[in-house]
Amino acid sequence: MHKIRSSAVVLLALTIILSACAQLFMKVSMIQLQQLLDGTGDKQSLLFVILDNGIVVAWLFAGLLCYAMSMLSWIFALIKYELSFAYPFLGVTYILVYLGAVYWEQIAEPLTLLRTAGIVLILIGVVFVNYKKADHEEKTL
Amino acid sequence: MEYLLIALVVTLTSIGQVLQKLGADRGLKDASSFRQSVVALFQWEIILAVFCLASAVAVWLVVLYMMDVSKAFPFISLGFVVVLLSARFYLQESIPWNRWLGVVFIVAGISLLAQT
Repeated sequence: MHKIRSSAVVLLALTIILSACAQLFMKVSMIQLQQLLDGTGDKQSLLFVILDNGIVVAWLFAGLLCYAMSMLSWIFALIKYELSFAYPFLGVTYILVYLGAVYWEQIAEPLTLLRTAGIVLILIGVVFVNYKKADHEEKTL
Repeated sequence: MEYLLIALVVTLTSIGQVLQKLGADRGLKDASSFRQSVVALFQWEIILAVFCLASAVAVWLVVLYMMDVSKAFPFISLGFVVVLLSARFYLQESIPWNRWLGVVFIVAGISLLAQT
């Protein structure tokens, strides 16, 4: 248990990376599903088509796995840090998801000034909401 | 429609996170071995949290099907606004000014995002 406590920073970083991957993988899976649906007019065989096309299921599984692991590492990170201290760092996830969605060719979402400004404002907001005077350092255990 | 679904995801996620924190505080803090930590994961708070978060993910997939992920994901920060408002008006807590300022920034950011 002592080992887990001393690696809280690693757990926090892991949480951020895993949550971003989870979002991107789930989005890729939904994009694949969309392309699949566009290609099939017959709704009755939909489930069969999805199961037959492992790629949707594979990305979905990868996304859900990352999500579950991020949740687990977040729980363990919270043992070491106060929620108000740890939460602003999760804001980095917004940046990673944005960059990933823009530069991952399969997702290729637009990078616009309005969207960037919106995300920056939200990041500032998340920091302010969680800011706590004085005792925002590590918990004294 | 997609905004309604996002609201549902935010609600389920907020409940799930509070339960996660309660569970971590109650069981995991005092666990002194790996085995005890694993046992502590099966408290009702954690199990209920997993259920809330799992249903949130299912709804979230529908949102991702309909919207850009770079637009939809930051909407999750609305959870802060929900928690703060319920703390103020339901629990009658006094909220420091910096939190209100944060909420203003979040709402401003989300209204910008909604335009894209």
